Amino acid sequence: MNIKLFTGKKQRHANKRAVTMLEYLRRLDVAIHTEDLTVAYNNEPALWDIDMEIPKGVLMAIIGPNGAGKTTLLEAILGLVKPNAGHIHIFGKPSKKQRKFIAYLPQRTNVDWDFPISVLDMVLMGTYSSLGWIMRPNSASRRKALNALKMVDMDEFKDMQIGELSASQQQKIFLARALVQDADVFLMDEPFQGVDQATEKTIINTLRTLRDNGKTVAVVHYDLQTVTEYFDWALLLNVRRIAAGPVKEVLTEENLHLAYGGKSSFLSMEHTITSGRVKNQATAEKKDV
Amino acid sequence: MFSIFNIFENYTLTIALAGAALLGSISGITGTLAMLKRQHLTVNLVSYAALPGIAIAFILTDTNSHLIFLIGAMLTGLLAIVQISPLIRKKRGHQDRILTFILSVFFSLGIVLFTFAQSKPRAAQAGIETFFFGQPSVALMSDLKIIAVIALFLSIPLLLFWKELLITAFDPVYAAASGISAIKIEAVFAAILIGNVAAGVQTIGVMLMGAMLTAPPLAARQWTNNIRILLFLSALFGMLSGIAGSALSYHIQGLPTGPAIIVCAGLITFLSFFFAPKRGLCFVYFRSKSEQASAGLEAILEVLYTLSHQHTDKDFYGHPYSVIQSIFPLKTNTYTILSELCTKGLAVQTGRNEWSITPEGKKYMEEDLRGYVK
Repeated sequence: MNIKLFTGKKQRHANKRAVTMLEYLRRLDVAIHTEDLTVAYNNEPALWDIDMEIPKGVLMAIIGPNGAGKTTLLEAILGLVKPNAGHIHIFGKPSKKQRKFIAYLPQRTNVDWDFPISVLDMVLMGTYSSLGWIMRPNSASRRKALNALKMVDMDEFKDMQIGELSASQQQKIFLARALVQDADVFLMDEPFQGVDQATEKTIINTLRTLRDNGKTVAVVHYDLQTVTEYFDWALLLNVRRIAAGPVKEVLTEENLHLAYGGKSSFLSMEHTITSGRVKNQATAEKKDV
Repeated sequence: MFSIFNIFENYTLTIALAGAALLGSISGITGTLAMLKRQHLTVNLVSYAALPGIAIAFILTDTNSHLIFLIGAMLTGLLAIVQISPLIRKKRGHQDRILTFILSVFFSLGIVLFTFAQSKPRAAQAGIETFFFGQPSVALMSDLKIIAVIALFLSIPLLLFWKELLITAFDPVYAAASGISAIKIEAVFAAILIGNVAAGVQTIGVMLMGAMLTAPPLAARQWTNNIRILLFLSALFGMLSGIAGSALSYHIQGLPTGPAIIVCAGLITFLSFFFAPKRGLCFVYFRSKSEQASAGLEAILEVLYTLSHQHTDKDFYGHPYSVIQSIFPLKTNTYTILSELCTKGLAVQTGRNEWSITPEGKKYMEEDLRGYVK
């Protein structure tokens, strides 16, 4: 910025202020940004020096090989793991008091599906964060939960025990629980894992509706084939940040080589991208684990 | 003999039964929570940890006040919980190993201290040895009051924090992400657990308190998938075994209450495991049998259907048993399946040892295939 209104010291001050103002205005468009974020487990870095931004109103994929720290990034933003260094800002403010704006969808395999609660009861858990301690869900929260179930076509299953559902249906009610939270930012950990084609469509359509309503959605995704089709923004991660931005700019061969390269999977990965048909290596790797 | 009248005539028995019933029902509810959180070992740890607490309380104060003993039990229970709290986030395998070890240490410490305490002159009078297995004859009005007050205190956090306890048990990661502090909820649960164990050590005894908290929810779980019914049934089963057990122990000379109650609870659990609908072993066995049978039916029908494509010119073309058997070898008897298909009108026997599919059978298969295509 070089707008010459003053001379000498006064000009330098004005320049400085102009820069911070610009920075501030830019930050207004950012839902979440991290600076120098580093997380380590037992002296083994899971995330190293991550500077990244999730702009408002995008549908973003977080991609990277196994152990790239994708889930850790979400957990750090949510405050579930403590960063060793760095800052996380949500809507321009330190993350601690801003987490109420975030809805989280953990991996489906995290919970015990034999738990004796009904579908509606589970979706109602999404309202707990806004209710605060002690308060019980009321009829308004019940309505909200039913609406969310309707959005994912699961309202007819509301009285079933959660274990009686198929994997796809379980994933859908997980999504419904996140929708109930009425958040501005949605962080999702592999919502497409183990679901059938029809459900994948329902989920991605729901995510698009969210984005079109001005919400920000960041999704940990492993299927490189569908990234360009589903998402408009991407973050490529392998402990360090490899690339971030519009999907087309991120998913270049060079970037993918940086993220996945060195591993034996690279050749087939490249093949996947060029042909778009061969089953994704990352998925196959996942099953091995 | 035992009859419904002398329950009310006999004051001591009434008090013992009321205490056991109350204790059984709160143990049912606390136990359900522990089961949902998968913390059976923590339950056992806290009850064993009461042992050294009672012994220390007696050695230090030389009293026979049960209240003092219970406070001692609570303090060591708290110590045990605090000691294992860093383990909560650890992997299950590690957790179990370390918990079992700590449990044994507390138990051994309790035995050592008890041996020392019993050498004191007032030990027999204070009746500390009854804390091992429980005793109905010590059920005085003051003991019932202690149980009632503890039950009242336990119901407050249960009612207030039920929502938080539930979500943390179901999905701790999500609970933490929605701003429910895991530490606070663990503390609430620990308080409930310690209180419940303290209420139970007189009636049921340290050794069996863990079983009292485990059996009723386990039995109740077999009957229902609904958490509200689960809580109710668990409390009911706890109450029933409490009443039955203490009545039994009152009428049989020298039988401690704890084992009597646990035998009753065990009986309920055993019956539930076998005869409960949907989850019970009998039901599961018969369902898997009938599923096998119906799978066999469809498989053989499919074989006949495929074979009938070879002879589209005739409506009925018999295929020998050996052909059918070789295409789809089943563990169950193919003859019985074929005759069942015949009685359903889906197949027909065309000659000696020969079978064919009927038009109804073909229609059934085609509808079935349409279902697959959809």
